[in-house]
Parts: sequence; C-alpha cells; structure tokens
Amino acid sequence: MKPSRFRLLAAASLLLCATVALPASRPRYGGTLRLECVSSLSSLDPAHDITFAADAGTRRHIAVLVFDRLVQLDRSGRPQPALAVSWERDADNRRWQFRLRRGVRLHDGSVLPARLVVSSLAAANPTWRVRLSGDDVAIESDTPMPNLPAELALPRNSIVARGADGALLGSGPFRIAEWQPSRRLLLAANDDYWGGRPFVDRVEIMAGRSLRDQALDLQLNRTDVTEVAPEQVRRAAQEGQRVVASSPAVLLALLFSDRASVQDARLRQAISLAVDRAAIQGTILQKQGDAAGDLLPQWVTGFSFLAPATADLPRARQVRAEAGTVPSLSLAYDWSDPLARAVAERLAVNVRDVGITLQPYGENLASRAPNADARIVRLQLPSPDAAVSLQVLAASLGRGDAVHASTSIEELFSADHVLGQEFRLVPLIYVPEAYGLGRRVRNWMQPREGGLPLADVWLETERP
Amino acid sequence: MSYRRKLLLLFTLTVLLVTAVVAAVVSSAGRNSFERLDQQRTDALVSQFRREFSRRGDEVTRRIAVIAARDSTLRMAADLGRSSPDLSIYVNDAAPLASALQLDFLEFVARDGTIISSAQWPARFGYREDWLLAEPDWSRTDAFLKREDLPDANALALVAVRPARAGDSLVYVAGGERLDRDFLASLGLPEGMRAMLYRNSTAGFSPDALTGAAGPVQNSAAFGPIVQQVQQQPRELSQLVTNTAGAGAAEMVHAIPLAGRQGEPLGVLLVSSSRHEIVALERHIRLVALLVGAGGILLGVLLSGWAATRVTRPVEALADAAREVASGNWWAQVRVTSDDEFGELAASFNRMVQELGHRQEKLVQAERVAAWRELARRLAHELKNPLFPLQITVENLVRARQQAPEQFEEIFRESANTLLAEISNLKTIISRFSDFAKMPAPQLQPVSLNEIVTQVAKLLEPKFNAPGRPPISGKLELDGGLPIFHADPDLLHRAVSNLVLNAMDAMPEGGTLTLRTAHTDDSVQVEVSDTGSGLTEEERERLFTPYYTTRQHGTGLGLAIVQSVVSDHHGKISVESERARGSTFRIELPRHMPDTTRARGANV
Repeated sequence: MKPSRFRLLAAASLLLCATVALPASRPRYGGTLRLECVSSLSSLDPAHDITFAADAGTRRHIAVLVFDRLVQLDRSGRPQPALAVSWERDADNRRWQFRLRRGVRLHDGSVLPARLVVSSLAAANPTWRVRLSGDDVAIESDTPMPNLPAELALPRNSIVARGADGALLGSGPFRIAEWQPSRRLLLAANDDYWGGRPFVDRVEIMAGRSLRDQALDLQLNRTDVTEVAPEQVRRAAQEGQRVVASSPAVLLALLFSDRASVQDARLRQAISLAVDRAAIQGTILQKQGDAAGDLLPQWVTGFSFLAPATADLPRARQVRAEAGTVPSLSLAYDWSDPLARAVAERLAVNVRDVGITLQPYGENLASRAPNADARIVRLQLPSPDAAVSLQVLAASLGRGDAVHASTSIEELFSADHVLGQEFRLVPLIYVPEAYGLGRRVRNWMQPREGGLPLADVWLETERP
Repeated sequence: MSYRRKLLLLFTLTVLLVTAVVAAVVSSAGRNSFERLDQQRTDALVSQFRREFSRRGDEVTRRIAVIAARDSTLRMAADLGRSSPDLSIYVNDAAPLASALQLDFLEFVARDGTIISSAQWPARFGYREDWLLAEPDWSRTDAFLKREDLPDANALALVAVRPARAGDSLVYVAGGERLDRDFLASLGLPEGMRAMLYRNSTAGFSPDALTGAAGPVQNSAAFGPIVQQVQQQPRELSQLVTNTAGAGAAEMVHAIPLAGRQGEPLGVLLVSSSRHEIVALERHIRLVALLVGAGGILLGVLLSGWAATRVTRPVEALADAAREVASGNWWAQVRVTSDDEFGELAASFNRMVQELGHRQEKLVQAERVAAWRELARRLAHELKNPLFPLQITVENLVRARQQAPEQFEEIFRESANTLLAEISNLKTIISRFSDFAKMPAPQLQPVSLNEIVTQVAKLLEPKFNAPGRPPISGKLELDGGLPIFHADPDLLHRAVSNLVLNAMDAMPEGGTLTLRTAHTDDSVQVEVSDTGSGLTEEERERLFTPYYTTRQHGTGLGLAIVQSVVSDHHGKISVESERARGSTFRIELPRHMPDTTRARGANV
C-alpha cells in the first residue's frame, strides 16, 4: 500500500473511532450489552489458545475481559501495570521480578493468591522458571527475555483459577455468570475489579451467529454489537451503520501443511508470487485492509513495506517450472467465513495462471484441523509488539529457534525474512477487525490491535 | 427313397419355402414401417429440440437485455466512463441478479474486456473476456453456444450478450443458461425417447462427459462411436446404438453437432428413441408369424402326406404288381379304382401282364420243347455212335456165319469184344446224364484248395503228353498262404478236373495249361488258363448251358456240372477269354460258408 493511502486510511479510521467514541451523554452504569459473534466459543480457557484456530481472536478478546495478566499494553503498545504494579530486571534480561498488586480478588470473592500467578505462568511457559520471591514473582530463563512484559500481556499468560466446581475464575472486569458452550455466554460486571467496575452490568454474548444473522439482528435492534466482515465495512458505512474498525490487525494467510505434496518450498513460493493481493484488497475487501507481503503489518514493524506484495507471474512461472510436476492441491477454508472463501477462490484463479491447481473447499475449521494441503487462516495479531508477535508466529510454525528475543530492528527484520522465505505461512492480506454498534452503545474505544473494549463502554438509555 | 417320400419332401419343401418367403416379406415390410415410424418420431423430437433451443435462446437474450437496461447496469456503465472508476463495488452484483433472473451465467464486462463481476466464477474479476471484443455490435446478435470455464470444470452454455451504454461508456452484459441435465429434463420428451448431451471436454470420447436428463448415462461407452463420428465430421447423423443389454435396449440415435459462434465444436446432442416397443412389437409379430407359419407348415405337411399317399397309391399298387410279376407271378393284376391317367395306366399294366403271361407260357412251352429236342438230339447223337458199330458188328457176325463159318469163331470173339466195348461206351454216356441229373449235396469239411489242385494236376498230367497229340505244358502257380476252408473235396476235384479237361480240349495244337490259386480276406480262388484259340462272345454266353458244347463228341455237361458245384458252394465262376490267346476260368469260393449250407452239409 502506498504511504499516502495508508495515511489516509489511518486518518479515516481514527476519525471514525473518534466519532464513535465521542460520548453523546455522560457515562452511566447499568444495562446488558448484547453482543454476537461467529465464533462458537467452545472454550474460554486461555491455555487453549491456538494461534491458527479460526476463532482464536474472539476467544482472546473475551479472555482479557475475564482474566487479568501481570502486564497490559496501552493503546500505544507500551506495557502498563495490571496485576503487577512494577517490575525489575537484571542486566542481561534473564531474570525479572514483578511486584504484585495487593488486594486483588478473584470472581468468587477470594483474594488472588501469588501462587496462582506462579502456577498459571509456569503452566503456560514450560521453559520459564517461575517462583515466589517474598510477595513478588520472579521469572527466570536461560535465554534473555528483553520483551517479557509485552509477552506477559498476551492472553495466554492470563492468571486463571479454577473453582471447586471446575469453573474458570479470573480477576478481570467481568466474571462468567453463565456459559452455554457454543451458544451463549453471560458476563457480569466485577464489582471488585481493581481497575474499577465496568459501566454495563452484564454482557450477553451469543455465539455461533453468522454475519448475515448478526447484521439482521443489529438492524432489528436485537443486539448491540456485531462483527462486521471487512469487505462489508464500506457498504455498512454507506448505509449509515455505526461501524468501528481496528488497524489492519488480522492477517489472512495461506498456511501450508506438512504433507509431502507441498514440501517443495519452490512450489509454495510460486503460489505466493502468483497471488494478486492488490485485487483481493481492492475488490474482495472493497479497499479495506492492506496487501500483505510480510507476516506482520507495516504499522507494527515499520519495515514490512520492503516485502513485495505484488504478483510476479513471470517469476512465479519460472519457480513453478523449477518445482517440476505438481499435483492438484486442496485448499481448505472455514465454511463460516465468506471472506476466506472468496480469497481461496481467488487464489485458485491466480495460481491457475502458473499451472497450479488448487481445489478450494469449505470445512468447519473451528472444530478440527483440515486434511488439506493448505488452508486459509485468520491470524489475530498476537501483540502490538513486533518482537513478541514474531516470536509467537515462529513458535506456532515450529520455528521458535528462528526468532530470538531481541529489541534490535535488524534482528527482527532478519528473523522475519527467514520465516518469510520458508513460505510455510504465506501472508495474503491484513484486514481490520470491525464491529457494528447499536444506537445505545457509547464510548467504544476500539484498540488499534483489535479487541472488545467492553469495560469502558456504557449504554445510552433508549429514548422513546 | 420311395416316391411317396419324395413327393412328401417336395410338398413340404414347397410349403416351407412359400411360408419363409411370405414371413420374410411381411417381416421386412413391418420392420420398414416401424423404422419409418421411429424415424418420424426422432425427427419430430429433433424438430422439437430445435424449437425449444431457439425459444430458450430468445428467452436468454430477452433476460440479458432486461439486465442491460436496468438502472443499476446503466449506472455501472456511467461509472466506467469516469476516470479511475472504482469497479470493486460491483464485484458482487452479478450473482444476485443471475439468481433473480434464473440465469446460470452472468458477467458484467468492461469495454476493454475486463470482468467486473461474475456470477458463475466470482473470483475471476479482473480477468479478461477478450472474445467479447471480437464482435463490434452485440445489440442484434442471437444467443449462441459457448463453453464456459468454471472453477472446477467447464460447462456448455446458451449465451447471449447485450451492451449497456451510458453515453460513450459501455458495459457488456453476458449471460445464459447451462446446457445440462436440467436443460435436457425441461425438453419434455415423449415416452421412450431421451436426450443426452456430450461435452467436448477432451479429445476423443470420454464416457463421463455424457449426461442425460437423469444424470450420468449408463453404458455411455455405447454412444462413443457415433459421438466420435460427429466429432470427426460435424454433421447430423442417425445410427442404431445397441448396448450390452441386448436388442431390446437398442436405440435409434440422432446426433446433432453443437458448435460455438465461430463454428468450433463444443459438443454433441444425442436424441434417441428407444426401440424397446418396436422390438417388442416385432417380436410379437414374429411370434405370431412363427405360430401361423408353424401351423401352416404342419397343415401343409399333413396335406402333403395325404396328397402324396393319394397320388402314389396307384403307383405303389403298380410297383407291387410289377414285383409280383418279377417274382414269377405272371398273372398279377392291379385293381383299377379310377378312370384317370392312373386308372388307364393300371388297365394297361393289367393288359400288358396278361399278354406277357401268355407269351411266357408259350416261351416256356417252346423252351421245354427245344430242350427236349436238344436232349433227344444229343441222346440220339450220343447213342447213335455206339449203335452204329453194334449194328455193323452184328451184321458182320451174321455175314460171317453165313459166308465163312470157319472164321466165325474168331470173328465172334472179336465182335463180342467190340460189342462189349460199345455197350460199355453206352453205359458211360448214360452214366454221365445220370450224374448230372442227380448232383449230390456238398459234404463240407476242411480242405486245402492247393492240395486238390495238385491232385488234379498229377492225375491228368500223363494226358498232357499222351502220344498222338501235341504236348501240353502244365504249370502250377499256387498261393502258399492259401487258408483251409470248408468245402466238398470230391465235388471241387470234379469241378477242377472238368475245367482242366476243357482246357486240354481247347488246345488241340498243344500249349500251356496253368493252374493258379489265390485268396483274399473273404474268398479263395482257383484259375485254369489255357493258351488255346479262345471263345467267341456267343460261346461265352452259352458256356454254362446244359448240353451246350463246342466239340463234336462232348455231352455239354462239363461246365454245367462245374457251375452246379460252384453254386452249391455259394461261389462264383467267371471266364475271361481273348481270341487266339486263350481263356481263363476263375472259380471264387467264400472262405466262410453260410451256416445253412454248412449245417445242411453236416447233416447230410
């Protein structure tokens, strides 16, 4: 994307956010915020966070409403105190010590014990040595951890307790009041939240709702917040709907399997070179999002523009010819994701130009991994921190060794390049996370990296 | 084969031939009629398809024109006229419009051929449809066939194109219907007929590319030849297609080549008419014809039998009568039952037999008289010879008594010797006649023919060189492997002796007499050959007649006795003779006598 277009889009997004976030009245407490999502929400446990799961993004957004982490990132991506009020590190970043916030209570009213922090973090990070150091929590590792605070802000590092009945307990702004897996989740405001009680009393989340049903419900005022497909943002805005969108924080990518048919990196590279990302961005996404030549968006890394995102058919044909005989490949996409389907079909058209046959087919990817040569995945940006995001992606691809914790832009670029040249995960397009808001929703301050800022939202009383 | 059977066979063959000819003519005429009917049905369906195809094309063209005239399409065209138009907002417009207007294919295409929106392949936006640019004015073109590329395959489509103009700006609206099983199902074919569509997806014939109204066609490979013929030479073709299910499943198939706008072959439409009903009808007719034919043949055979019997009965009566006549009944008569040709024939036969009977009676009497005369002549002749010396001798005695009594005694003794000799001669003659009259029955016993022949040769050899006659050289050629067989040795001895004596008589100037034996699997043979003057034709014919002789002093009984002996042994005697070279008599006797003869011989 050209810098001028990006600036224009960013300005428009901020203006849109500002417009939406602008309170029309003073904050008020109370009310039930109704929200619908496509995700089935089959699990709320942050430990079940799977990077390439179809509903990973929604689950993370809900996890941070219920569970606290030691650190959270502010709108600029800087670490801010959460359960930890301060932290210290040694010179080589191998040992960190976090001072815990006192008096934090879990949703069952009990005080959050420091050992729960230790056990939660140790379970989520087997390579760490986590222990209590007085009232503090010490985290040590054999390798330097310069980005540990940002890493601790990841939803998977949430502090999770289990009640006597096995129910998940957190200390976040909302508690789980009722949960019917894959159907309905009712969150209640945590009156004892250390950061202050949320404005709304309850959040009712209806799971497994299609985008079409969500749009209809929003029109009929049967819900307050809906997910909006990126390609529908423009039309929705033209039709006068209230739509908020994040920065392009969701990567739509092509993830190749470990099957022998796609083991040749030249074949994967040929496919990557054949993809007309500009057409996807300009037409399918109706000019939303950014063509992705790199695994991380430009606004996170600052160097992603160096990775070419345009199709290079001559080069693709050359690489394809070097790869030799190529069988017909299967390409899976989540059947509930129209954007993934459109992108998959466009991919199939593009790669035909270089003599590769892709057979797209829909499957319920939220419930199980497909038995396909490749699949279209939605990848929620793990963190606004580039190094942390790259680390998470590399680990998910089984190449944790390729990315070392670093704060150096050169090392990040190098690691990013190494991952990109394997073409195991081929970035296609960055899309924003967008929500349609009902008339009574106020103070929706959409985080740049995506998410549900429900703790700050209040509901306007409907006027007759 | 009897005349009746021949007649029956002739009549039956005639009936069969006539029935077969009639059946063939009727069957051929019926088949031709059915095939004409079948062809008419197929032609009607093909005509119906053409009308339906034309109507569908008009309908598709109308719907495309409606889309081209819509405000939204004209707005799209107007937008395209702007600088840097945003086409992305139209990318999803084709699909809902196609669905609303029941079109399988619909595309909006920019003036430069770039796809703006595609219903059948939404992901193909931005690609080009250059074929649209080849036609300068699409506003008056009819619908045409086109191969449409789809994500997973290609399809045959009936397509129309209309331009949507907004000022100088233009958008092509191209769309149509898929020619598939639904299209075939909508043709509304009569019972027993079906339409199939073959898409030219690959070179040659691919059975999977043949579709019927109900889906994939069973036994589709059977249609391969006709499809390939139409592919090679694009013209309409009718052909009978028989699949593995048999003649009842055969179909008369009319193949219509489907060509694109530029004449490129896109597929073949097959309109077929099942021959099941026709075959069933033909079978029914054939069955009826067979039953009628079989009944006719049966009736014909019965009538033929009756007619043959009726026709041949007089002939058989004649034949029976003839056989009776042949067996000696010279007075056999045929009953005359009609006054037609057969009746006349029977009457004539009766008259002929009566006449023959009378003549035979006269002939027998004449022969009998002739035989008695011959016997009397022979007897007189044989007896006259010795009687004359007797008469002379007695007269000498009387004369000597009267004229020279002193010499009487001497003359008496000489005359008495002469008289005794002549009387002995008379007795011999009488004995021969007597022997012939009472030939004994053969006394069978194991005998060696070589031994008998050798004995005869030894017995008669002295006569070969008797003084007063030219010598005869005897020659024995005996078969060393001659088997022992059953026969009467005395009779055989007499027969061979007679032949040898005859041979000697046949060589008054001397010569060579050869006795030869031989055998086969079934018989033994003895041959007596001389080198005399041979026999005339007349002599050969009368050789075995009793009392016939070619000699001055023969009784004519020798060869008659030989023939009698050979006949009693169930043998054969034959003679070969050549003038001035001699004659050969051959006796051929069976090695195994019939049981009756042996039994008779054994009992005697």
